[in-house]
Amino acid sequence: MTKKRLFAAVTAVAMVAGTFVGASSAHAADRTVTVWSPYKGGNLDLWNASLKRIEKANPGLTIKSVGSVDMAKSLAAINAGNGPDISVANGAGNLGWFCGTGAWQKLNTLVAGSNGINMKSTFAPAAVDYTISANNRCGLPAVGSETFGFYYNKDLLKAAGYSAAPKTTKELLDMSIKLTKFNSDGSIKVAGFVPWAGYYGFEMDAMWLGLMFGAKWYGGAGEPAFASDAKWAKAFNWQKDFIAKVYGGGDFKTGSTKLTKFVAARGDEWGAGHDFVSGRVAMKLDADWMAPMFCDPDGWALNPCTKPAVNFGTAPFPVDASIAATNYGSGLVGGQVMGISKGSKNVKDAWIVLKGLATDTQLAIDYANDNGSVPVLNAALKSGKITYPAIYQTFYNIAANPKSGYHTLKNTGEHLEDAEIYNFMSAWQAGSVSDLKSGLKDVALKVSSIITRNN
Amino acid sequence: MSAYTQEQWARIDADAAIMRRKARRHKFLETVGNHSILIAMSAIFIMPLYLIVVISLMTYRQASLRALWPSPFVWHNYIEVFHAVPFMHWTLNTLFVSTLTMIGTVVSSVPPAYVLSRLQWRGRNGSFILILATMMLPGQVTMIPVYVIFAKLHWIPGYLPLIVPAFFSSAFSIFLLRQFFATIPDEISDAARIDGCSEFQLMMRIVIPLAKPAISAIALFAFLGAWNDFFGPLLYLVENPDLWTLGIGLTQFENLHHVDRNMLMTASALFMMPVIVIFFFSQKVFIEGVTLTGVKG
Amino acid sequence: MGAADLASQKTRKLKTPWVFIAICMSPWVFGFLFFTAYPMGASLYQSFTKFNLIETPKWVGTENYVRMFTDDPDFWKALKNTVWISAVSIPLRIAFALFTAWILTKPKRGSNIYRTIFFLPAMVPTVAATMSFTYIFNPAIGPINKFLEFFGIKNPPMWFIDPHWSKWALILLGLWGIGDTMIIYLAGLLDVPRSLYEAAAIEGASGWQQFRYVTIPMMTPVIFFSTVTGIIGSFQYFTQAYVAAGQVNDYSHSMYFYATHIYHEAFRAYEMGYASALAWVLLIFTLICTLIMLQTQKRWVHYPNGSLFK
Repeated sequence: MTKKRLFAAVTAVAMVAGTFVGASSAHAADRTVTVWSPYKGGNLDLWNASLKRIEKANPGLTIKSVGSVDMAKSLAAINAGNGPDISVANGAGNLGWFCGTGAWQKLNTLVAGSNGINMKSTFAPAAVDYTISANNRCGLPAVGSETFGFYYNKDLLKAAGYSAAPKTTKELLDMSIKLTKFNSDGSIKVAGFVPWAGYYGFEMDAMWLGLMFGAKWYGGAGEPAFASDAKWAKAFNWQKDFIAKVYGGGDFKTGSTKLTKFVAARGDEWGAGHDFVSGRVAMKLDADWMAPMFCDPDGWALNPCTKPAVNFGTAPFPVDASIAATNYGSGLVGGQVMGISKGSKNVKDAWIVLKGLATDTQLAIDYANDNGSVPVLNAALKSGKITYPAIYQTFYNIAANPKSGYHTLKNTGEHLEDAEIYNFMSAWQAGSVSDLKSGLKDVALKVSSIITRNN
Repeated sequence: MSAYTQEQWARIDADAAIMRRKARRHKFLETVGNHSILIAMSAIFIMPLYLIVVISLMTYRQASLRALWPSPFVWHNYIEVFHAVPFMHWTLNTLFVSTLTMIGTVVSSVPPAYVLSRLQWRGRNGSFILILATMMLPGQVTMIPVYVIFAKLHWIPGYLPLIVPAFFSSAFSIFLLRQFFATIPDEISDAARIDGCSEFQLMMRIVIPLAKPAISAIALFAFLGAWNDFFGPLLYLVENPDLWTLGIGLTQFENLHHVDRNMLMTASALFMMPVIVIFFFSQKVFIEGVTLTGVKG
Repeated sequence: MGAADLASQKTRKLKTPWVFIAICMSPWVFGFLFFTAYPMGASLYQSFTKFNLIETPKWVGTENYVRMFTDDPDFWKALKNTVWISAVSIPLRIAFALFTAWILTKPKRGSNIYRTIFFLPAMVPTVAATMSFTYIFNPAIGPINKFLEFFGIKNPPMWFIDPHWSKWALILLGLWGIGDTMIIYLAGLLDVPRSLYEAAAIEGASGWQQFRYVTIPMMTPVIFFSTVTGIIGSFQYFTQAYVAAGQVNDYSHSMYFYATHIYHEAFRAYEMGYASALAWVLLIFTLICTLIMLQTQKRWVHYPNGSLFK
């Protein structure tokens, strides 16, 4: 009797144990990769089509795709331990932070390995730049990117006697003086160009200003260069001079106050109320994906753009005359980034998917055509299959220009260092900074301490 | 009486008449003065509401010119808001959270308040002082670990972090209810106990019905507190736009596609309206409730 | 009196219904344990760690507290702003609440209508009120400056956009919603025994003297209560400042308060340990202020019944 019971017990235990063993081995064979992305609608369809192609090329691999998930949500899930294998961020601004905190895994070995990627030859230079932070490559460029260029209202320029966009910052100032019109009460009716932090952008504004003068964010040893690089001082002094001459009749305070009020009354960002569409501002720096809106504020259709809401032209950033020879033609290029989350259970397959997504030429071409954005995948750029109007040639050129880029990404989060220089620019343009030199030194110190603290 | 002559009496009467007239005129001027101040102040208090309403009914063109009266009246703005942003959705979300919060608060605050005021037991006063102390605690001290708890439970983003705590009593509600319960005479409870009522029946059948004004007040405060709450949704709902309440939605208004800037006023007006309507229908409850908190310690 | 004695004797004889009490108190007890006691302990512990929500907290000793006082300019900015707005708005609110309540006691008829009007703005949801104020106080498209220009003020301030005026704009927003505080003052005013006023009038006191020597002393409990709650509330001031700052470019952090700093450090910079340290410093600061107030109350608060607790 005892023996029988013992036998039964052992069998029962063996059976139970067996199911666990069976389960874990079944788990090991489970090759599912979850991908969360912010795409929706048509973009999500293109994304999913690409994932299907990857599945087809890798039998046994299953991909689960969820759209409309922004990076904040993905990050929260990664923190809680149940994040996706791959997540996509809409912009590169926080890449340094993802890398630094380990939210995204280091890909250096995978990129350099046998199934790796030759970053330099595969992607536009800027894209290589905005996916790496201090030698820690934790991301690859996701299909969406943004190239910033210079938009100008052809009609307004023609009425003032101009036929081409300004190439240098001096030309920009001179043209703006002519293009700016005032109301009877002295307030600004039409602004030529608005070099103002917080007009329609956010922390990008200091980036643009810096790029126009070739100012560097970080020096050789990785220390902030706001005070050491004289080009920043040049840029800010130019901004002050611009505001004084164009809007203040020579007086900075007057110009600053008028511009503050002008910006406070700006039209709605999305739609026909946008100042550039309504003709309230004649020239503007903005992203490539705004072109469809400038063409068709309601439907965002670009292809074709037969009756644009505003007759606009595109050009590279105007730059300071001293760097025009080398830098004219470049611009700000940023993009979406994607990485493999910390805690991913299947890094090997996740890499296959990640690489597949980053190098999918068809996806890049389709996405670019649909959204009016410039691909950062060289194969797509050179394919000749991108089908939109000549105004976009400007953006291609900018994207391909080796001097185009973002700014070096450090390990801080939420644009912390961007916020410092942005706040400085805001204080400067409002006239509350008495000493430019010490103000810039202060910014450099603040950014230093942010970086140190996050190390 | 005989101390005064006829003449003196006449003079006294005349003086009295003059003083009465003076007093009346003084009173009249004082009344006019008071009402002028009151009217002026009413105008100041109402002005922002007036502006919100008129700007909400203008075209953006008029609004940007700072007009003070719409012409024409764009009633369509109130419909446009529902198309431009998921306003109905936000409203239903807010209604959902507010209702559940109200229920939770009432259900979980009445019993503690009852036993704290109508029964004697060891530890009663200590508990009450503890409750008072927690009312003075800055929320920031507990906010982060609570957030971490909810994050680990995978409740973020979601409504549970907002609703579940409501079922664990609100110190403020307990305080208010306890003050009110304490004013109900002990005799009523004693009489019921003599009659053989259990404590539970006593609470439910006798004392609670007597406390309707106070309970209505805290229900109202809880509902409105949740309706107006911004910080809770900011912490726990912001990552999922489908869950947004009106508070968050309103701050994101201009980031959403295609809205004229003055429509923000339309949205604000719609957000305020339920509160103001509820207020008008329950003024008495409100004011009594607020009074209960402040005066008698 | 006698019946109450008899009654309490009776309840003393009855057994304390502990089960019933336990069940009734349980929501609060569990709430206290989960949402107050445990988090307080946890946040105290976390204040000595570096914790970014992804990784486990790393013990760093007093580093957070040292950083707060030596390497965080935003801390001082936030503290300065918070102290400033408390020092300015608390007395203003008390005075304004007292004034509006007082003027409401004056008329014989119609005071209910006025009371409703004065109270109404306090009902408006904070977010709606703040967003609306930033709109109507916008120097370019808002009507308020149009009024000011009409009344002859040449260059009216830019309110929320100007760092020198933004806190004043916030104070105006707060004063607009004085209703809920005012009601408490109104109740207090109505509670002052008429006999005191009559006695003073007989002694020859003028209206102003009556106010100073009768009304104000009798109102000191209410004023004390509202000062303490005002201090506690203003140290936690967040929503209006956060919403308003989000509508404008607050580059100089003029609307950056202590609670804003805690929020930023915890949920933007993911420095949860540091944010916990900030929260504890806030708690201690609040405690000190409250204790000071409680100590000084003996000097200036007159309780009609002799003490705070009956």
